[in-house]
Amino acid sequence: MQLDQQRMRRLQPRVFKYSLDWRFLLPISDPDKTFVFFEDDFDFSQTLEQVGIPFSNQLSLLDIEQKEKRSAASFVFPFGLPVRWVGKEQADQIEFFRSMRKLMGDTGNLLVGFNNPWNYRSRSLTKYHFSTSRRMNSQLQEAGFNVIKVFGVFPTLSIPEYIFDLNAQPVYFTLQHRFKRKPFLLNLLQLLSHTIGVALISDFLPCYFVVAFV
Amino acid sequence: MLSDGKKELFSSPLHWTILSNGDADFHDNVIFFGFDKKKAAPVLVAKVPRLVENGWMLKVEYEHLVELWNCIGEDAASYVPKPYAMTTLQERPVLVLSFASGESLTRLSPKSFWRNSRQVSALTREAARSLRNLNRLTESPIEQDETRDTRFLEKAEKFKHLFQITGEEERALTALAETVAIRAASASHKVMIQGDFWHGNMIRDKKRRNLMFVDWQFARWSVDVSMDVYFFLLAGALSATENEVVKQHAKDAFGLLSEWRKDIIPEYLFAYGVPENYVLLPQKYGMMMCCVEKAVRSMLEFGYSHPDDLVWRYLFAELMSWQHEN
Repeated sequence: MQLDQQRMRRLQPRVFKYSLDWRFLLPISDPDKTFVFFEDDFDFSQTLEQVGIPFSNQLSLLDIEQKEKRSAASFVFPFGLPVRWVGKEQADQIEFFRSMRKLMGDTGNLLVGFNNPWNYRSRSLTKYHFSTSRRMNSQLQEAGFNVIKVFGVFPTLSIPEYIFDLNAQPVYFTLQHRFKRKPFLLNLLQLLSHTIGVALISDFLPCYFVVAFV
Repeated sequence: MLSDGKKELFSSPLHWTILSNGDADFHDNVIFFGFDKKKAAPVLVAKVPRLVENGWMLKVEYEHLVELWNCIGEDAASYVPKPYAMTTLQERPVLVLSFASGESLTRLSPKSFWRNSRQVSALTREAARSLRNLNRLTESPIEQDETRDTRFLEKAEKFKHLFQITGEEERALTALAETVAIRAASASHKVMIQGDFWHGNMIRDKKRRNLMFVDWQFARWSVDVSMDVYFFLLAGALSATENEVVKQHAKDAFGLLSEWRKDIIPEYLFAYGVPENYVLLPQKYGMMMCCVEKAVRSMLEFGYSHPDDLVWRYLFAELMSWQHEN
């Protein structure tokens, strides 16, 4: 039976630490046109390879500018803006988004994941900037993006169990599904959403994805 | 525009919640719940594979559901979601279904639920009655040119090939394959079995309070219902005895099944009843057959092994000592 265990382990596919489900928010599925930016992470690079997305981290924005395939491409920062690349000031981040917009042209799209500063569990993740949905929205608008859509994410950006529109029905449904075994918390959230509204509840989600078009 | 008969399913752009099962297995599907502006509950459910090449699985599920609905008509609404369409969106295959409102039984607590024999007994009896009712609805005579072969021999061969089995296990496997074939030959009717009949694929309907069955990708017509009937018991026992040490897990599940043998299993089988025209194997054979099918399914269907395969192989070994009932 020991032999069985060794043999079966060899036959099992590798299960990664990242689900890449943000891909479902993007309008195209051509992996060659998806440029993903993140801080060095071998496991994440291998996960991208699994679905055929080229590993773009090593490319500078200038390299990408010279690429022919960048029309109608997706530019993805799945864990947020890297601290090493972009300053924490509002002006730095707007400037960065502005340069992304120029790079994308009129046909591309941008996806950024980010943790809420309220999310105490991700406090130790200092490689990427925290943000809020309001702040991100206003930065992208100032950078010239016209269509901006924010999605709520539970519980983490690496393996989101839920990704949802920030409208009343999906938010209610997600909270009910997520907290059905914690009735006290669920009742509290429902009470809050009736009194202060879904929009305010949505400000306290652990993390988000935002998709923006020119 | 998608419609259910003459009724359009939605009138405005949908809002979505995407649900995954909380891990990163690329062979899984993700589920989209679509909300219309006017309604609180989702108006549809869309299943999408993480990898495009796994779209065949959804196509198989769609075909089985269509077949089931065609076979039993609107009665199907009490048991399974309605298949609306199999389509392609942004080059990804998508299965669109009706929403089954209610609570999934996937996360029934190992301790507070599965160790409470009153609750287990109530659920097992209910599941047995629902399954039998559904089987009655799909029961159809076997045509002259149709096969009664359950393809068990192929699975038994794969089992032998995949695992290091003992001589005693090999003999038990041969006896099992013979019994399966002999019983199948005596059947005059077939039914559509779900193929993955466990509590994780059940939803308790919010309004009617009955059980709905989801995930039909392993469904098939068969003269033998043992896979559905016994898999439900085995999956329950395994859920109740979670253990990271696989061999111990199988041992504990076997121990619990032995406890259930006093009352829960007889009550469950009594609630299901004795089929006259198709096959329900005796407990030992039925449970061993399930173990073989579950241990090799991943390898046969997808070409790779699943972490759970071993527990089924060990449970098969444990079941060798199960005494035949009178």
